[in-house]
Amino acid sequence: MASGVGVNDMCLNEYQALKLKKAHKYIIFSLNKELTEIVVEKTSSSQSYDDFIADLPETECRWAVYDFEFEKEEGGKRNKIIFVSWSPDGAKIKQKMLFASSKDALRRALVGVAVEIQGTDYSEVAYESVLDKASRGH
Amino acid sequence: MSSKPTGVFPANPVTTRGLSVKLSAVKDKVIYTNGKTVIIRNLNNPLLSTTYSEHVHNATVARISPSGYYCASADTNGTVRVWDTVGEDQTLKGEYKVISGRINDLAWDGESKRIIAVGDGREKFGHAFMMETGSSTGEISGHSKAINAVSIRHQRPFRAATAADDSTIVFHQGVPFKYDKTIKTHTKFVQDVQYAPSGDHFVSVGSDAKIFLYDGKTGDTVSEFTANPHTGSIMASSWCPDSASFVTSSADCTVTLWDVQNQKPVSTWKLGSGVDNQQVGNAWSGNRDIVSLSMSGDLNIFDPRVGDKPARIISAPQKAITAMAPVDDKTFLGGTADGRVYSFTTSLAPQKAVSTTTLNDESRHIAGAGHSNFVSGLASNTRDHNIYSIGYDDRVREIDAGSGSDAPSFTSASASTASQPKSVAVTGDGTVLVLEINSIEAFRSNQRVFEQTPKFVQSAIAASNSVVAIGGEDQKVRINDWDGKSLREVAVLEGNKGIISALAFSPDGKLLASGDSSGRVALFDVKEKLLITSRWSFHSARINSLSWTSDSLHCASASLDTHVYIWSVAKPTKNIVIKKAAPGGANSVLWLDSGSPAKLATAGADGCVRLWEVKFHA
Repeated sequence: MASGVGVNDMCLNEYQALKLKKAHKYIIFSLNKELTEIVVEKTSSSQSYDDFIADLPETECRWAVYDFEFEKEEGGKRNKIIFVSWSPDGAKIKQKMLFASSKDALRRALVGVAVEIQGTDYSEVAYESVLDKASRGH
Repeated sequence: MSSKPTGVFPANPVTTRGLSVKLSAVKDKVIYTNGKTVIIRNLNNPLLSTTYSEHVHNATVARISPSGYYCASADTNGTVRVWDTVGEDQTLKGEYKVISGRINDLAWDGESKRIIAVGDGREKFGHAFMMETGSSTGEISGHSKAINAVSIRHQRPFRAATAADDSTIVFHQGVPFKYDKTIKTHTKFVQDVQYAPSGDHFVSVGSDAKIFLYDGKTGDTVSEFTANPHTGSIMASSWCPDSASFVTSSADCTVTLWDVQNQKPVSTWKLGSGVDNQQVGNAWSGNRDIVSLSMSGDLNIFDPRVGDKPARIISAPQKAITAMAPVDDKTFLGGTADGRVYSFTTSLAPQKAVSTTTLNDESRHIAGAGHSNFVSGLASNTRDHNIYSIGYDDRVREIDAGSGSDAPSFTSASASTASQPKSVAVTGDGTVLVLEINSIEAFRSNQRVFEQTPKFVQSAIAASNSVVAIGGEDQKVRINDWDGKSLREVAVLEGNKGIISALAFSPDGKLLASGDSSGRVALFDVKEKLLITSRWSFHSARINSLSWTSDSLHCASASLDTHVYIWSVAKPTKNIVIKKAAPGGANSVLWLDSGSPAKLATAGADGCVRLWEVKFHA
């Protein structure tokens, strides 16, 4: 079920900047006040993964795109763009419903996402568990 | 940033009335089982012991191969696991399902290649197989009831003797092992049969209190030991490494050392009386230490050269440790599910690989009038260092911490509670607050001074000076003020997502951590009455215990999911994890020393206390 929420052009522009120009490390997306459109809440070029985690609020839903850089066991750096649907246990049910049904609109607009992560508490978006998901397969 | 194990206070063997317990020993190590855990206990320094917790069902017997490289352990489901004892990671060599019921005993051959496992199966009572492949090396047959013990002659030609509840011993020739003859010497259950290390003889003992000696090669009966001081079931026997003598342990609370040459008892040790002192298993460690197991779980160590009492007694929990409390910076107490309380002393010195005979690290049973049932909580009084314990015998008891060389002991005073106590806390003025199923009671000098029946269902309590936090099943924490006479509610804190199961104030009293049944730890500011963070949510099951470092900067949480997490107040997004800190569920966690590296103790369902060194994030 789609909620009929649209995606603001800025979302795509910032995503392109992250993907092609490496202008950002991560982007946090949210809904606007009227709950009609997905907008960019924050972009950051901080290299610390903890800063990214700190930007995921404890009781509100968000989406995020993170340019995840890691080293393979056999050496060699990899970059993968991860998409995080942040829907914490403590968020209001209505908001969780709205974010879940609007996710597809944003997710489909972003081409080139390698890993998708569904986060309901902080252990699911911890560096170790993301690294585990990202390094699987390739 | 990281943690590493520094030692373990192992549990003692679990005992069942009327069942013989199979202990075995290699040099100064004794091998036995407790629940699902196999324990290799170092007799000289318990902290150098190792544990193995990979069994799915309760383990019943474990023995190390003559080569010393492998251990075979068996469980109540008929599974034998052979694993490596040399490496750190205890690699599994093979897992074999050999019979369809409880395995009572197993034996290695002298070449460390074959194993015979015996027990209570449906279609057969024993199985002989290769350690490497699990393929059969013969047939164990001739018994009509469960087999209690097996022993293999370590020299060629191989022989095996099995002892069973049908009061017979079956002698097998090998290899491949096959039935040779039935020996009908005993008149009741045969409890144990053991080959001498030289292979010349084997000995059998049984519930008819008789001892017989047989020829090792032919299985002919040599003689009965008639000068027999035992009056009750003999549960176990084991040989001295020089094959000149053996020792028997009996349910009449005696242990006897026998000389094989003239068939006379050399010495007999009597260990008190009553069920707790029944001797149910034994092993010969090294050349001179005889280890005999009491029904109470105590391991009595005898020296053949010393007279009338055990040279020393090793006591440790037999059941799950349910609560811990500190006495001083080296000693802490642990309460268990059977009501006993133990004190653990650690020198905190770095452990060396070479074992020494100094007994700095030990666990001791706390004497005095203790609980008769499940200890549900322990709390230290910060003023006089006494410790208060609550148990499901519905009593609050006081433990005198002792000073200097005095060991902690229960004082004779105790108070009874109105209903089953769940949690205990001590306020700054020395009042003991006991949270019970139906009410909260306050005790001072074993007199009830206050009682309150709250409107909500309460589940946990903690206190810091006059501030008392009470957690409820309604997922809320209530801050109360204790004025010496009564409790007054001042605030309600919300932030948890399940029944509040553990509460802890930081030592400076400014912060409160509250753990709940969903595995979340919420951190509150006590003064502002605000939620600081609920990011501490990495556990996947109920939080059982919380402990703060003395500088109030880090908090450790122990959970039913067996893990322990260490959280940082300054950096809530950082944590240190100790996976599988207590197999079966971590019940309690305690900081011993917050220096660098800090030392942490964890305890849980397997009755072992594990010690860790933790390096915090820079």
